[in-house]
Amino acid sequence: MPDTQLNPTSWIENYGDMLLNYALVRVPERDIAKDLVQDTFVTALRTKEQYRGELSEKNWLFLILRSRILDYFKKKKELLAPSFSNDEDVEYDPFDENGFWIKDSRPQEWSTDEAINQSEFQTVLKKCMDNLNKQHKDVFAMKYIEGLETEDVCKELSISSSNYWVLVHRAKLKLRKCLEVNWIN
Amino acid sequence: MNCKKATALSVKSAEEKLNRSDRFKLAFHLFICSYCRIFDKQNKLINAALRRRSDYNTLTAEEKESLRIALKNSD
Repeated sequence: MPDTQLNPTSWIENYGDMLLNYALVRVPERDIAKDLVQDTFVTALRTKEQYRGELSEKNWLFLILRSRILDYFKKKKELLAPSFSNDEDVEYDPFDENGFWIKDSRPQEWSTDEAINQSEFQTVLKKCMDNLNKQHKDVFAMKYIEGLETEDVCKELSISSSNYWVLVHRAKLKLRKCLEVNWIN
Repeated sequence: MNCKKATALSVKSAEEKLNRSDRFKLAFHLFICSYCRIFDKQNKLINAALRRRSDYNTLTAEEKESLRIALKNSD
């Protein structure tokens, strides 16, 4: 018997919103995100006999959601053939050759820190996240929405911890700049 | 230490404890560099806002109902 029991009747209440928010990091359209959550629950129900309890119920559902998202993009790519990559990563480097801030890239104070609570900030944050590449989205979704530990994110993405920090550093520089430009102070 | 390295350490320090030498280097750099100080502060705000996204959007009652039906039909 697994240590952890599955409790399908409470999945929607316990994990529905969290899974939806995770999916929304990867796909911008709400309808598609909601369908992915539904696929996740249906798949989980169909494969629940295979659950051995090595993962928590929550992490197991997220694992299924990730594979649903992968499937979705695979299918979408087939439909879009010849493939056109949406993930071209325009390298953003705010530093000069000595590693100091380029004049135009220097961080500016934001008007007020309390504004972080405002929904406009979240709206801009979402737009800025949509502009990140796939790998950066994956990292943020796993780390901040699912709440995985850094080492588990590395395992999931098969990257080293130094790769992880390079990735997060780059993503944060980009995200910060985008927020500053698009969020009217 | 330059700003590129300092911001890398700043990002890391928001998620885990740095070793003593990095901690000292970062603290010193933040003391002398106001831009990286702003970055350090804003990075923490961004982290908090990202964490808040886990329950930012909520399923509507209709969406929950349609999920319930889908689950029922597949059981």
